[in-house]
Amino acid sequence: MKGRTISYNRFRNLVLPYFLVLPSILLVCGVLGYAIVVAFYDSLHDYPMLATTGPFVGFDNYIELFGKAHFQNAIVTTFVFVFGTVIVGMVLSLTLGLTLYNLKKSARIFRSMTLMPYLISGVAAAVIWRFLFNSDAGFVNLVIQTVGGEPVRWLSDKTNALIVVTMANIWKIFPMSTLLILAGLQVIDPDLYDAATIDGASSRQTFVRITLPLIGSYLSTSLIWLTFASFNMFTIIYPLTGGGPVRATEVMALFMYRLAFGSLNFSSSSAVMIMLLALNVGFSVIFIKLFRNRV
Amino acid sequence: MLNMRKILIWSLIASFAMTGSVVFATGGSEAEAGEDEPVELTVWFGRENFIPDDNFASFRAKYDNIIVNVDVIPLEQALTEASTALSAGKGPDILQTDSRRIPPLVQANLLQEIEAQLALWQKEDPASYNNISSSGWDHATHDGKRYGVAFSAGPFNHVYRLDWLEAAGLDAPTTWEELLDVARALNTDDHIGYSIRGANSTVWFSSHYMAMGGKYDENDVIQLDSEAGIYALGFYQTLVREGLVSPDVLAWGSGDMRAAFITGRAAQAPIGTNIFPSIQEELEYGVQWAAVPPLKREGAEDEYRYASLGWPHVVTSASEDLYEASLVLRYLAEHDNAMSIALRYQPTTIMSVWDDPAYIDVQPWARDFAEPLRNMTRTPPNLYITDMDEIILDALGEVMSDMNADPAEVAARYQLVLNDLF
Repeated sequence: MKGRTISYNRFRNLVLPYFLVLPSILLVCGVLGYAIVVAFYDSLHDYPMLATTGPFVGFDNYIELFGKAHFQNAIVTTFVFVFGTVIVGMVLSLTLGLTLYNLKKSARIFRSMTLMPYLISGVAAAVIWRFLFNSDAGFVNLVIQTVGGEPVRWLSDKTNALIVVTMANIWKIFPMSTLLILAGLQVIDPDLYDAATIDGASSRQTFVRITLPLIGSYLSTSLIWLTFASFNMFTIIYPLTGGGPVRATEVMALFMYRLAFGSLNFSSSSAVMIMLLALNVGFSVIFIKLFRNRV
Repeated sequence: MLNMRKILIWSLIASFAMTGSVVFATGGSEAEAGEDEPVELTVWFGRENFIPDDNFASFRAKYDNIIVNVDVIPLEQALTEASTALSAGKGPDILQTDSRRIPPLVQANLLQEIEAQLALWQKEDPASYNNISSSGWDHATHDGKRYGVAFSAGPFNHVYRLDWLEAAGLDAPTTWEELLDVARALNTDDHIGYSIRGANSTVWFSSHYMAMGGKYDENDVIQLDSEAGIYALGFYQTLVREGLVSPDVLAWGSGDMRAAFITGRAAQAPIGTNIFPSIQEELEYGVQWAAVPPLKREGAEDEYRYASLGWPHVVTSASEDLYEASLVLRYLAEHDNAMSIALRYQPTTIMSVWDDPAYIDVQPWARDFAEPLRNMTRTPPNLYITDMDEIILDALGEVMSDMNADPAEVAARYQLVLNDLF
């Protein structure tokens, strides 16, 4: 009888969790895994336009892409866009997360309001931002002109357009990372803060020594979210600037779309997809390792 | 008994012979269409607006053995969705696409040429067949073979504020140089002289280029490094340099460009015929605004071409019932069906519609365009049209964003890249 109990407990502790996550794993492998395998296979072949078969070419598609000026431009634009979003987005998320955590009144209302940009569709968000930054009658330029300034060419200037697109992206995706950080803050044992206060720790010391280490895993998840949401961002950029002016906001996701559905080059567009995936996985691993060591 | 058997055998031979002669005489057409066995056809339209008001009701009444399934697959997705479906053996019988996409479809063996069925159409219903304009056929042709018919083809035109010109004592421009003069004269704090979109689509540029006398080589590659090409790039640069267009022009799409004219913020614009009803809702044709085909370039009048885009219905490689598919095309070519689309959307290639008083009554500009529409030219497509577009946009973007860029040098540099496509 005792032996049976031991084997049941062992089964429950060791095997049951895997049984429970199996449906999710199968779903992910079935949907995402299949797409990745097919895309990787496609990226190693040279398919003629609209065809689904072609000769094996190894990594030629990748090499060819790196030789293209438009792809080089897309890589640089993507990194500016992603790191701009991650840096500003993390600062905003942390600030807003701490603010929401310390709110005593109407906290639920403010937390709900924080999520609103995330709930709006990307296309709708792009339209809102397009209205805001329209050079002729946009709200931002109206404010600038009201205070005596000159109207700014937001979307037709290369640098300004990239700034606007990055801001729109931050506005759209940072609420999710804010909520992740807020969740991390809420699970910290308040006794730790009381103990720190008794020991005479300053606010800065409490934040650096207690808060940051204890929300490390949440910070890494937030970073991963901001990174991969930005690398894959398409729904805001396409309707907001279409990648323009003169390719100033053409990120890799947009480049991939044009390659696939414009040029009908499925092999090279699959190669871009695999590179985007590799970047996402690579940065995720870095962030996880970075914060694992800190905790 | 023997006689009875002989009679039976001879009766069978006679009935086979009679059936055979009927099939032979009709080219396998009427007999096939009249067979009781149902035939199922799937037709993809590129826009809801391309479906006739009748929505195949009269077709179904006439051919009760042909089941037509109608679906709307946006033109932008039609190519990839069709290739996926056709590769799996489940594609549409008839597909509507942008005529610029015909070459890749042909190259991928996704279309069937239907010359034999068209010959039959001409024989059985010459009035309907001969009612289709040359551009209707051109848009569905590749390497001399026809894969279907375009019932809608739309050009871009030069629209201008007639009332503003009259108030300023100016004549309507007839050349591109005159257009610039009018733009300079009517460029004020309240409105811009000309409304164009940024370097984000080539179809308007191609229309300008062809009207300016621009040519395409034997591979249908645009010749930027030509007199017309350099002139076209220089024209766009002049518009930006002199502030005759919006300072935000690089970020403008077709919606911004059209809206500027419709809402009275632009004196002139290149606008497709399908947008005319929207203009008419705000301004009165012949009083406040007018339209003409794109203008000519001085010295290149003989090389002028009135470019159009087309959206042909083409028969795919999946179709096994070519005669029935051609009946669908004949249905779409019917006067009333074509007119119902032309009244609310794109101009038709069915010539009888252009002179129909009911059509002219609703679209007052129709009379002015009846003759030019007969002379529309298809914007030449090629296998690498998207790559060609990207290169043109890079060249256009450079001259529109860098006022020091020399159009001739830009044209020469990008022509080398264009030539490398083939």
